[in-house]
Amino acid sequence: MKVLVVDDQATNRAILSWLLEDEGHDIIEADDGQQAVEAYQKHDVDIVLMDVMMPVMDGLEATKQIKAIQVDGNYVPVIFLTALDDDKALSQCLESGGDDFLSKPYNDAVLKAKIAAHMRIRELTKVITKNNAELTLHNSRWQREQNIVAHIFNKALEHNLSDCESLRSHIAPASTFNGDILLSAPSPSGGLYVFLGDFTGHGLGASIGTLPISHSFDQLVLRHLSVGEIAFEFNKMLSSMLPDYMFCCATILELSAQGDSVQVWMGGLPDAYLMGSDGVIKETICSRNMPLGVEHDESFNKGFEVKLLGAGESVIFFTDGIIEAENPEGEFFEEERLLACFGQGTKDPFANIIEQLADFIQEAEQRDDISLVAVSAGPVVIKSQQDKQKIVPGYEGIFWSMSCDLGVEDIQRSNPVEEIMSILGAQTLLRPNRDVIGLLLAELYSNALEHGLLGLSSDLKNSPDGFVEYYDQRQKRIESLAGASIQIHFELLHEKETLLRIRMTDSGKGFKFESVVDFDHEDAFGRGISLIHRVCNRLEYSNGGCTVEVDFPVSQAVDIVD
Amino acid sequence: MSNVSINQQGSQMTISIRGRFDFNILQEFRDSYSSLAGSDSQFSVDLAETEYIDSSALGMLLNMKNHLGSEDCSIEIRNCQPNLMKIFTIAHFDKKFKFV
Repeated sequence: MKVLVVDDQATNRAILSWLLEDEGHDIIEADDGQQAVEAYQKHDVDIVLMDVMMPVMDGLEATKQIKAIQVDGNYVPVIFLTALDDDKALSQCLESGGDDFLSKPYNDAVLKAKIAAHMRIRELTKVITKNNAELTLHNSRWQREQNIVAHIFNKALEHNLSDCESLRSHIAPASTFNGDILLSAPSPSGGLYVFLGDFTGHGLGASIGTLPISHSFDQLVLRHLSVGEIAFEFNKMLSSMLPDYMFCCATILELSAQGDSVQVWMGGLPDAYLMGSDGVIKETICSRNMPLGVEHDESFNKGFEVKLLGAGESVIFFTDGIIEAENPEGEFFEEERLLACFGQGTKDPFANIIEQLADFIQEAEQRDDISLVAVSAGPVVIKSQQDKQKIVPGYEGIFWSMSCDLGVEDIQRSNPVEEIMSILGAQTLLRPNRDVIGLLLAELYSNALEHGLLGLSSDLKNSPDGFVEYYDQRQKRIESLAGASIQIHFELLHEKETLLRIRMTDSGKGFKFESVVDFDHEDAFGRGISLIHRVCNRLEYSNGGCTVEVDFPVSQAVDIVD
Repeated sequence: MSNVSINQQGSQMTISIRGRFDFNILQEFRDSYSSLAGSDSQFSVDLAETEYIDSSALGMLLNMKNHLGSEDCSIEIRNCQPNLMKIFTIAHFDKKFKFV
């Protein structure tokens, strides 16, 4: 430790030097204030022991100068050793920048203790200064990284439809990074896909998950998957990626090109509302699923809801940031206040919600990200040229056909419909309507088998007992079936619109199809055919009733003929 | 394990169907309600765990309705999944049964 001893009396300096050298310190001596300042600048001094009354420059002035040239963060204590002991002199010592004082004659032990105490302060100051410098460095590095990440996020989430009248949104993140994510894209058939997600928490941690979501959204949209299947894919990705305590509440929606129906999948977000043209809520759409990133693949439900939209109607959905928004008194906005924004006489409930929410929150700090979205009825118009390119005019893939020839063993072994559906279901184009095509095929197949090959009469099904009898007979006749076959031919073709044509021929005796086909008869028989008729453009029997051919329009989302 | 299970709570009968709802469970399904015709039980069919239905299931539901009596005998269908609802809607069953 280097101690600068300042005193005009050589004896005083000598006594101090002996005392401190014994303690293992290096001593630098100065005769007056002027020399003290020079010695301070020349040597790397740790502590100064300063006399007050000296010629040339007194200790008060010397201390002022030393403190003035002291580098920030380098604490070099100055302890006055003085014969003066009146209050005024002592306070002058401290005002000049001195850190402590000791009245002469001083006690050796007290002096050593003071030096030791100030050395501890000097060491602590060094540590704090070092830590501060590190913090400052980290902070500026974090700022720089935050800017980079913010840039990446903005770029990644930029590809939203900017200018589409079917979609309206209000987004208010709680911090630089948004844990809510809104994505939209035109569907290949000319409709509109919208994804609204809310990751657990908010800020950067929550918003990390939005990157892969937005990236794969584009891919999934191009594959023209159903909203349920998009949810399935996202769930699969997020459950493998996110830690257990993180997940993403989401609503996925597809508006048909004509804007007259929506497919909705909801997992964990608050109720959505189907709003009439008069601003009144017609129907509440509830979440039926767990949030994305929670369920295992096997238990995931790809089911979704289909809602028809009349003119002027819209679907309004949002993240829980709205109902959980707090006012300065700490009250929540809650569903009640939200519902009060709708109703007769409210010109624009969407704008009303934003207005009421702002009035409610006032100056309170926003705790969570807030997103509000409306998708409205009417043909989807995509204005931006870049977005337009994403729409495939009709089907542009290859057209194909597929045939299978089922013999007795195939028929006896199991129901071949499931096996065929696993092949057809892989075709991207057919996926959104897989349930309906599966039903269609099952009905065609049971007609061919039960009426064509087995010769069962639907009349049996008139009574409950006959119904049982019918299926008993079915089982028996299948077991004794011989020399029979069913041929199924599938063809994807384009005639005005893209069609899946299914032709099924059985080796049976045929039937008088005119008498059975009563489309409006919905009793216990003929229902299968009635179902087929509702979902297909064309249903034709030929070949004496042994061949049936149907055209299913694949490009329509779900067409329910009423 | 049986695919048709019955739960009775007072006069409330709930028939739950697991997996595929088609003619393969015809007998089981019929047995579940047939002894109770004319009683003042309330019936509901729970489809929470049903993966598939076809037209024979629709027939079975109609038969159940006919067997249990009149038009005003209410049979509720509970927990119908959206993909199945699509089929009920196509068949106009949404107007014949009460979906809750």
